[in-house]
Amino acid sequence: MAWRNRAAQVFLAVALTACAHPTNPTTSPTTGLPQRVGAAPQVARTGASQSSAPASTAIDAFRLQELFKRLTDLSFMTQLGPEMIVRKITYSGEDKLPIPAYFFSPKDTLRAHAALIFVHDGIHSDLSDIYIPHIRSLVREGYVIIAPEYRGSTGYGKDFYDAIDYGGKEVGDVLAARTYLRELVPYADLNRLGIIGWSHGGFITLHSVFQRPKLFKAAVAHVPVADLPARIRTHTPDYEKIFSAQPAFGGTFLQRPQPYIQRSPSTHVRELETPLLVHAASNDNDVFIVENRILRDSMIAAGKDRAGLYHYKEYQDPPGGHSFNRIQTREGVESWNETLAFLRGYLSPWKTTRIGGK
Amino acid sequence: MRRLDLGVVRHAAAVSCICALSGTTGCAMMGVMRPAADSYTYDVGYASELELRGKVAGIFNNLGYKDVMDAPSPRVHMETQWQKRAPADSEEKARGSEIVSRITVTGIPREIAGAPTMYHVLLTIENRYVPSRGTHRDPRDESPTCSYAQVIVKGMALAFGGSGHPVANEPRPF
Repeated sequence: MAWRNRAAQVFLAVALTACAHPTNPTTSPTTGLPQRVGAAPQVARTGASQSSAPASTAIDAFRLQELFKRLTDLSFMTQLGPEMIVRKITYSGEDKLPIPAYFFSPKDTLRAHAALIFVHDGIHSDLSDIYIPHIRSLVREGYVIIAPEYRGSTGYGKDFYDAIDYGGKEVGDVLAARTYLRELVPYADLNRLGIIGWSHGGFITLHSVFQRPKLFKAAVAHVPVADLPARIRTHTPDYEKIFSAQPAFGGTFLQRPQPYIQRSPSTHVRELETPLLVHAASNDNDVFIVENRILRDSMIAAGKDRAGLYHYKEYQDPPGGHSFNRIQTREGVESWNETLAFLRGYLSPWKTTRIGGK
Repeated sequence: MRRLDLGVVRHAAAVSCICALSGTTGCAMMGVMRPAADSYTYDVGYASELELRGKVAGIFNNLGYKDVMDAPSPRVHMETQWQKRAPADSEEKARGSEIVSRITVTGIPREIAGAPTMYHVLLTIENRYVPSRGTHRDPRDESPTCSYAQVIVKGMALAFGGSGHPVANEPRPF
């Protein structure tokens, strides 16, 4: 095993030297749209000389995404493999679409563990290795983790990318991860199931607990997309095209407001029955704070804070803004420690019972 | 006994005044809670089920709305889609934000022995104010206005013989 890890590390080192950004290099963080990779940057990435590379050899953007996904897979394997079980699996999602997913677990599989569905961020994105510290600390606490690469994710080809259904079937894909755990992971205790996600992952987390409140004992949605009408208006017209191009939206917000409102978490706050933790940043320049204030006010009006279900904290100008609690700063660490404590309170990850109750 | 800070007393008094005003105007939102949509509910009268469905469908149609939900239950529940609309008054226009609204009509059965079931008709109008493109300003910061609701209330109250009085202008969690 050691030689395999070393070989993978060497491969990674070489590959990462050649590539400017290891995760989602072809996806714009703001628009989520694939950037058509022209000849020149690809030449630079492949290491060939610019003059000698004909344009016809250019790698398609989707092939490049697949390549970088392989690198991310390797990164997870090499960095986390020595201390936990790391697997890449595929399960059946909404309408039976095969959904790839990462599976992380403590090595002790004779005892039942609390479980978490870990929902990656980004429209047209995928689970990146920036989450390695979070996954490591969660597995060390005792959680089994499944991280679905729901439809629309990058790294799995054009058809999978184009299958995006924002706030629709992608939520079903994530919920179907529970079925995988139930049927194939006997040491995942589904009576202690939680769900966690940042940004778009937070958006899916919110929809998941609104749609299936009985499934989860706790939920964490950090910097979540919370209100689509406000979001559309705080972003460029190009951003709106991601939505209007999807059949379920069928037009711009003003042409067809119904699906935008219907797919906003703020619309469904009355359905909240699961304890929920939300952290937001006042200086977020992606999910502008107005979105989370709409969610907050709707939760308060519905009495979800008084019911002890909705726990909200707004950080004032933390370093990193939208990424503030995914980086190593005082605020980031504080937010993460609060997150772990919140989950501990509902999921008791330290409790591990021998399977079969003995 | 702990002495109350003068500032706290003033703040409490101010909040009480706002709440009292909210209750009397029938149009203002409560306190500082500003959910995604503001919502106004009015008592617009009584009708049989047939009359209720027929008239409401006509009114929705005249206003340019489409009935998207007609839920079968002991109650009659008719709901339109969310739809963009023009500002109803100068205050709404001054906001410079886009407005989408939805109308819901609820018929609550009132059964009297020996008589056909009549429905108590409640009308709810919800407005969402959406920031203008490119701004991060929260349009909910502006004072709410119920002009648009009142236009519809007049028509409905006339159709069903009700008072058109507000019954619940609470912020809905939406």
